[in-house]
Amino acid sequence: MIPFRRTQLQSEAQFSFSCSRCLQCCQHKKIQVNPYEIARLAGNLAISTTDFIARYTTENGSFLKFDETNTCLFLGSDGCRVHLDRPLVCRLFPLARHLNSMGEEWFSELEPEEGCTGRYGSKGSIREYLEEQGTVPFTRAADSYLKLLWEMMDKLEDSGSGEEHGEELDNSPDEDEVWLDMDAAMRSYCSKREIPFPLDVEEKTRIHQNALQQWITKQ
Amino acid sequence: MNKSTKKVIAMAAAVASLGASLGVATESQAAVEKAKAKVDTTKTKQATQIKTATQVKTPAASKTSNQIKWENKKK
Ligand code: SF4
Ligand code: SF4
Repeated sequence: MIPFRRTQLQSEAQFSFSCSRCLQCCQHKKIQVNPYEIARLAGNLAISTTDFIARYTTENGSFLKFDETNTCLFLGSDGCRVHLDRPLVCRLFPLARHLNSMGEEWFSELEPEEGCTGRYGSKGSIREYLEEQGTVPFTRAADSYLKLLWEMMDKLEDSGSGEEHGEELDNSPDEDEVWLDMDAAMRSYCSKREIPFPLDVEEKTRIHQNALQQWITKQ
Repeated sequence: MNKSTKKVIAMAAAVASLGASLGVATESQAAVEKAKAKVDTTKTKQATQIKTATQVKTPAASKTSNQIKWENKKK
């Protein structure tokens, strides 16, 4: 169980924190990465999401890989080597963000990392802190993927197994298998529809989410 | 394997991975196994534990996403 200092916080709650970059919190952690975050990180390294997932993630692409000393592979001597594209949870720290299927959002403040030399202040709010950390495109993408996730969970709950309803769903087998690898899914999706492969991450994410939505709803 | 069964398996797998990537504990891995077991009825059905040992466990029913740098003290 993660020890929270405070929880059930709204975005206007008082919070201020200044990180001194001691780099401790890039060790012994699990960093969750959704398809948008993978696309941002892959873009930072100028590789495809397929390569990124193979080289830098674990658990089917859901978490960043850490090395044998349990240190993030992106931690360099001067700090995070992918700072501009670092994942949402790295931006949030020492906060956690929670969101439920009714769209309710709240935050928790974690107990400080042992030895963390960051400084807590008395001015500012969670919202201001998040703005400084550039979380907006990340929370937007996470929220859109979450909507799709809730929909898939509902579908699975409703159907038990689609087989019982005798559905014949017209899906492409290759897309079925690579949905969460954005580049692989988009390559297949775009070439079938003869639309150009999007290079911009935001645009690619938008098309990816539309495609996923179509796949979920298609009967 | 027919298309709908294949889709159920693919969707359950997508839910498990996407759920983990968004900090949602799901029982979807078990759903993947269940869907696969339906295909091969000779296979014994088995429970599959989701790797959430270092995460706050959120019941799937509450549908809450926890976006957090999880502690992982092992190793
Ligand atoms: S991605 Fe960067 S900030 Fe996040 S854990 Fe790795 S090194 Fe640290
Ligand atoms: S442990 Fe604290 S001071 Fe050190 S890098 Fe992390 S947040 Fe910053």
